[in-house]
This record gives sequence, C-alpha cells and structure tokens, in this order.
Amino acid sequence: MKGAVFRPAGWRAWPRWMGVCLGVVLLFAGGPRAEANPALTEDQVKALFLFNFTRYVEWPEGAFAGAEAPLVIGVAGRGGIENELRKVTQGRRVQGRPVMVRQISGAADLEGVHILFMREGAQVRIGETLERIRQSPILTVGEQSSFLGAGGMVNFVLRDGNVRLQVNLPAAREASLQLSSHLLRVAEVVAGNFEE
Amino acid sequence: MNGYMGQPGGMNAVGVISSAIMLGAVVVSGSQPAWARTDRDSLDSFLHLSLEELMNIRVTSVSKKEEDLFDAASAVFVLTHEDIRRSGVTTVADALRMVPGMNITSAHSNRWAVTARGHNHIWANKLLVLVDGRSVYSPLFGGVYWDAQQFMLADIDRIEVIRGPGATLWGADAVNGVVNVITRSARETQGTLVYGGGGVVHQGMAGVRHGGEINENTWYRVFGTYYSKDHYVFERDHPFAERRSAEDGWQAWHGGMRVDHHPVEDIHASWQVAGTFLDLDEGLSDAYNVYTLWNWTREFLNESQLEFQAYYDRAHRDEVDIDRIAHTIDVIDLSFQHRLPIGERNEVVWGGGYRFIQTKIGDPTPSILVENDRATRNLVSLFAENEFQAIPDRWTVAAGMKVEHNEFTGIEFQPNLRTAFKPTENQTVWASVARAVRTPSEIEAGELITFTSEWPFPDPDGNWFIPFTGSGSLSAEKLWAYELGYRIRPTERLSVDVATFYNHYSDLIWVDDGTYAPGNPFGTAYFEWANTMSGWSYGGEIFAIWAVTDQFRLSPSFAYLVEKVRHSWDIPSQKSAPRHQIGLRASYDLSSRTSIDGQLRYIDQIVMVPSYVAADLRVAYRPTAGMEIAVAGHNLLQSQHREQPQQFAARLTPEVPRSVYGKLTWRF
Repeated sequence: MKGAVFRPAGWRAWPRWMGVCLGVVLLFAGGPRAEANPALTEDQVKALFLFNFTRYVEWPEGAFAGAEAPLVIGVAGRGGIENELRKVTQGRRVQGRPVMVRQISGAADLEGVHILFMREGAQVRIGETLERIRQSPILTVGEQSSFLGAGGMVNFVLRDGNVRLQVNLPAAREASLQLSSHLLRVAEVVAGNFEE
Repeated sequence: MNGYMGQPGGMNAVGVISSAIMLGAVVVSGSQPAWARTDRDSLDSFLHLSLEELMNIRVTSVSKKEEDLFDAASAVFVLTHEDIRRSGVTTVADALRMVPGMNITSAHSNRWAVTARGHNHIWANKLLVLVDGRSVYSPLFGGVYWDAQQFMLADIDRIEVIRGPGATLWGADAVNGVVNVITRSARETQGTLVYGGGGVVHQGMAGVRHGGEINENTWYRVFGTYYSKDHYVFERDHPFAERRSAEDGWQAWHGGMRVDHHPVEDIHASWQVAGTFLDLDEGLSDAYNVYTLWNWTREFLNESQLEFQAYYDRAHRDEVDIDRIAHTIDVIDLSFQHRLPIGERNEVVWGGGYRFIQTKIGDPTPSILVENDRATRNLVSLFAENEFQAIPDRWTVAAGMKVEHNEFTGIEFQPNLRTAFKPTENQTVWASVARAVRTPSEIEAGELITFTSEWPFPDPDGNWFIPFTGSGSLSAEKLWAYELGYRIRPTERLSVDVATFYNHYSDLIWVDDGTYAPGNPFGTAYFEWANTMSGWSYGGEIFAIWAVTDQFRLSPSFAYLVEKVRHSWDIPSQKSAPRHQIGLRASYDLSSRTSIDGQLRYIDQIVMVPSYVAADLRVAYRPTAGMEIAVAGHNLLQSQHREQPQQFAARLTPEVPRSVYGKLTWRF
C-alpha cells in the first residue's frame, strides 16, 4: 500500500521525450500551405456567381422595357445574400444596363425580374412558382437538391467545400433564354444535351 | 496498483526550457499568407474572377443550419465537428462541458452526471439524450450511461443541445434539455481514416474507418475504435484513503457500419448497426450495447418532408457496485414525422411513435432485492405543432402539443408555445412557455427491484445512509418552464446569444417518510420514493463567438443558476448545481499547419465540493494534408480535483485527474 515504486511512464519522465517530439514537430510549422484557408462565405460566392450570370445569359428582346431598363436580380427566401449582392452590383453595368437587387416576398414582386434566386425558407412555393413562370424569361437559380427536377434552370451545389453549378438546359430553352457556352462548359449539365 | 504515487505533477527544468524554445520557434515560423486576410466588406477584388476560379474557392461551412439556429425560439447551442476535434475531448460527455448552461460532473473514471440547468446527481435524470434519433436514456435507473456512448469522434457531424424543455417534438424526459448527437452520412465519410495515441489517464486510443461506394448513389462506412482509460484516485487529504486507486479503470471496444442510399436526391435511406463492449472496474464489471437503426426521409423541396424511423437497441450491464444490479434492456422503437405547409403562412409538423421496452434483472446483490425479474412497457406518443408566420420572415408563433401514454402514470400532456421576432435581420428575440414531464424510472416505480439493507451505514461525517424503495403510486415529475432569449450578430465576426429561464418544478421524486424496524444490531430502515418535492430555479446563459481575426477565435460564456427545492420535511435543500459557471475558449491557427486550442472553465462550488478552475490545451500539427499530430491536456491546473459530493455514506468519491495524451490521425 505504501510502496515507493512509481512507474517510469509517470510525470517525471514524460516532459522530456514529449518536449523533444513537440520540438521536432513544431519546427516544421509554418511551411508552405498544406491546404487553402477559406476566404469567402458560401453566400459571398453565390452572390458573385449570380452577378456573373448577368454576363453569361442572353435575354430575349421583350424582357426589358427599354434600352436603359435595369437588369433585376430577385432573391426569395432566407435573407443575408442581398447585402452581398448589392455590394457586388453597386454602380456596375452589364450589357449596357444597370443591375438591381430586389427582395421577393410574393408573386407580385416577380414583375420585371430577370434572375430569380430561390432559397430555402422562401415564402413563395418553389414548385408552384417554377410552374407559373416556366415560359417567362426569368433565369431561375436554386440551391436545393431536386430544384432542377422541379423545373429550375441553375442549381448551386456544394462539393467538398466548393460551390458548383448544375444546369437544366431544356428549362432555359423553354423560357427563351440563351446560356453562353462558357457557362455550359463549366457547369454540370444535368438535363438535356450540350449543343452549341 | 500504485498508480499515482509520483510527485504532484511538474516538469523538470529541461522540460520547461525545451518547451519554451519550441514555442518560440513556433511563434516565429508561423506566417500568414496575405490573401487569407479577407476584407469582408468588399468583394471587389473577386469580381474579376472567372467562373472556374469561383468554382474553386473553398467556402466556410455554414449555413442553412446556422440561419435556422439564429432564428430558433429556444436556447440552442451546437457543438460542431471542429469544436469536438479541436477540444481534444475523448468522450461526448466531456465535449458537453463546452456547452454553456450544462452541468457535468464526474466522480469515476467511467461515470458522468450530465444535466442542463441544475438538478445534477449521479443519476441525472432530466435530460433526453439521442444519438441519430435513438434514445440512449436508460429507463432502469433513469439516466445515461455515458461510458457506453462510444463513437468514432471524427465522424460526428455535430451535437445539438437545447437547454430547456426540448419542445414538443422530443417528449417526456426532455425536462431540462435535449442532447442530440448527429453522425455524418456515409457519403461524407469516404476514404480511410486511422488514428492511434495514448497518454496519462487516457491510456490508449485507436480507431480505423473506411468509407466507400457501393454504387453511384449508395455509400457505406465500416469502423472500429478502442479506448482505454486509467482509474481515478481518492482525494488527497482523506485520512485513510489518500490517493488510493478507485479501481475504476476501463476499456471500450466499438465497431459498426453505416449505409446511406439516395435513390433520387430528395430521398435518403440510412441504415446503421453498431456495438460497444465495455470492460469496467478493471475487469470486475462489464457491459455491452448493440443497436441497429433505419431511417427513411423524403423531402419535397422546402415544401414538405416525411420521415420514418425504426430502431432496436439492447443494453446490458453487470457491475460490482453495491447499488447496481445486472440487467438487460431491450428497446424497439418506431416513429414517423410529417412536415407540411398549410396555406401561405402555416407549417405543421406532426407525428407519432411507439416504443416497447423490456427490462430483465439479473442476480441480486446484498443491497438490492429483486421483486420481479422482468417487466415490459409500452409507450405511445403523438405530437403536433403549427408554426404561423404572423409577419412573414419576421415574426413567427408556434404552438404544439405532445400526448404520451405510459404504463406508470397514464396519459401525459406537454403543451408548448413559442414565438420568435426579428426586429432587424441580425437580431432575434424569442420567448417560450412549455410544460414537460419526467416519468418515474423503473427503480422509482419499484415494481422490479427494491433497495434494501441490513443496517444503515454511517459515513465518515456521521450521516446515516438509508436506502430507498420504490413506490407503485408515483406520478410524473412536472415542470413549467418560461424562457426568454435574445441573439444579435452586430458584425460579421461577432455573435452574442442570451437565454434566460424560470422553471417551476412540482411532484419531484425523492424520499418521503420512512419506516424503521428495530433489530440487531441496528435494525432496518427504509424510505419510499414519493412525489415529495417542489421547487423553482431561474437563471440564464450568455455566450459570444468572436472571430477576432481569421485565425483567432474567442468564445466566452457565462451561466447563472439559482435553485430552490422544497422537501415535505422542510429540510433546506443543498446546493447541487453551481451558481456560476464561466468558460472561455480560444482557437488560434498559428499557420495553416499548426493550431492551438485552449479552454478555461470556472465552476462554482456545490455542497461538499469547492469551486475550481480547470484549463485544457491542445496543440495540433499537420505535416501533410492528410495527417495530424495532436497533443492534448485536460484539467491541467491541478493534479486532481473533486467534482461530485459523496453520493452515499461510507463511499468515498474519486477525483478527476490531470490528463495528457498524444494522438496521430491519418486520412487517405
């Protein structure tokens, strides 16, 4: 019960070998990056994509009221991305037009929208809305699985920490929208063939 | 046998100097690539990026889950996969120490008493704990055997903790909170992961997991882990037990498999099977747990969701302790849940469940008398909740009710009313009123076993230990909880969360009048469990998460609790939960390869346990992208400290020791 025996692997011994190991290992710290540090949030990357879509999609003539009519990006659902979008679009022109951001809370807000980003938590029912605007020249963008299956045109999907694009070509054609081949090349074209 | 007889921990001079040099080298060599410092207020620099470049940006994890939590009308806290990994904890019970408002105490190497917002004792019984939807709450003693909850920690996605009655959805026994451990889908754990390590107290740990594809929409993983932990020792100043081993060292083996299948993207079918085997009390006790679970979920965009779940769980324990008895519990549980929108502004969630529990008792011990050696119970429950958007995306009101029928107390109702209001996009105010019940455990109901004794035990302080017997006429314990909370995200880098509560308890179960029969040498005495206490508690938690820089994060927290419980005998209740708990977690990425995490915890005193400050530290280094070497130390400030008062007279309470271990993890 009293015994003065104490294990070699007790307190006394460990700091020494542990210290040596730690030292060897830590000396290599700070080398070239083993993996990239994340620089942007998911919302920020999606906002950049949405802005880019204005450059890679062609809308039919009747989609704009006039030569100076703005290109409107509508966001329905969970908030937060409008700020990012506004920062990106502020004072910029695409295809000679100003770009505006609008929050969509009901069907009435869809008037004059050119890109509609439908997020989770949207008040507008996604399936119903997609059905209603199927032939309207609005680029529908989503971020949930089966968005394309329901008639959406572009879907954001997260793969290994990267934001990727999926495209439903027939849906875009039905709405008289022309998607640039550049966009089609980098996206996963999920329905329809790639023809250009 | 001699274990901890060394000097009160301390490094010698060589150790200190070499560590100092290493630390210096680390500080000097750490450097930050310029582009990693993102100016979050302007995306201008990214506008010129091509589509391909945008696609290759790694984004911070996020999300829908975070947004939902920000708007939640309850005191919710999430321990992420990263939180668990970076804290270096080896068990889920220890991970819960990071959650503000949780009370965790450990008095044996393999035992933890975990509860939220007070009422903590070794059979802390007011917390519902789920693992992927499977309840791990043991109905016999009414508590969770945390040693049996073994995991491949690297495959845990997150642990969601709700302090406060876990709303209508979770049901009875969620009185003080709900803990839900969620593991990753097999789709997210592809490839092989191997780890190994060991140290002081956490003597050995090893594990391997391999994940692969069965076909293009079916994924699997198989895994196995081993963990062994040293015994604790009794307190330092005890007259005759000083530093003696509590002989509670143990080992755990865990293994299993999981398969996830998505026939189409919006249908998810998942199956898991696993087993855990424990060798406890240095070989004198053992336990095992085997289970299998099926889950089928279908989502229709964000419009409706249907989920079915079934599981079978068998848990067996055979421990030498005088207050434990060998038992085997089989559970079969079936449940479903349906979420659907009604009109423009309402969303209804409703569902039901059936659970069958069979408890079998083994051989009696000297202090436990077996009345019946088996019992079966059937539990049926139904719930419904409606969430109404009073002002769309700004103000929601939800009302719900759960009705349960159990064979002890009959039908129990648990209504709940919650509301959340967002004055601005980055603020949420919420409030809730709920009634919750805890059904008596098998011990309390007394139909199976009775604690008995030949004579009362005197303890070293002169108090008498008198055993308790069950009572067939118990009703459920009740709680009315009133909560109010506020969350704000003043900047992108800072979020603050405040939650306050007032709980009113009635019909709490404890012992009532006793009977005493004289005899030789001391006679026999016993007390019956009864609904004999009532009380209230109030308090709150406040915590903040502050991303000081992209590499440095601070997370301070503070929890406050005042409890008053009244017994029919008019005995003043003793403080069983600390009044103040303060925590501070810091995470620092020295470089892209090296990270340091630390935690300081202050736990206020409770009856017979002085207050203490604990410090934990973990340093990790990645020599390559797939490999990580980590050294983690916990409870570093004292060689050992007490966390629990003596539960029973004549039983000494071991203390939690300082621990350190090293671990190598390799992914490929």
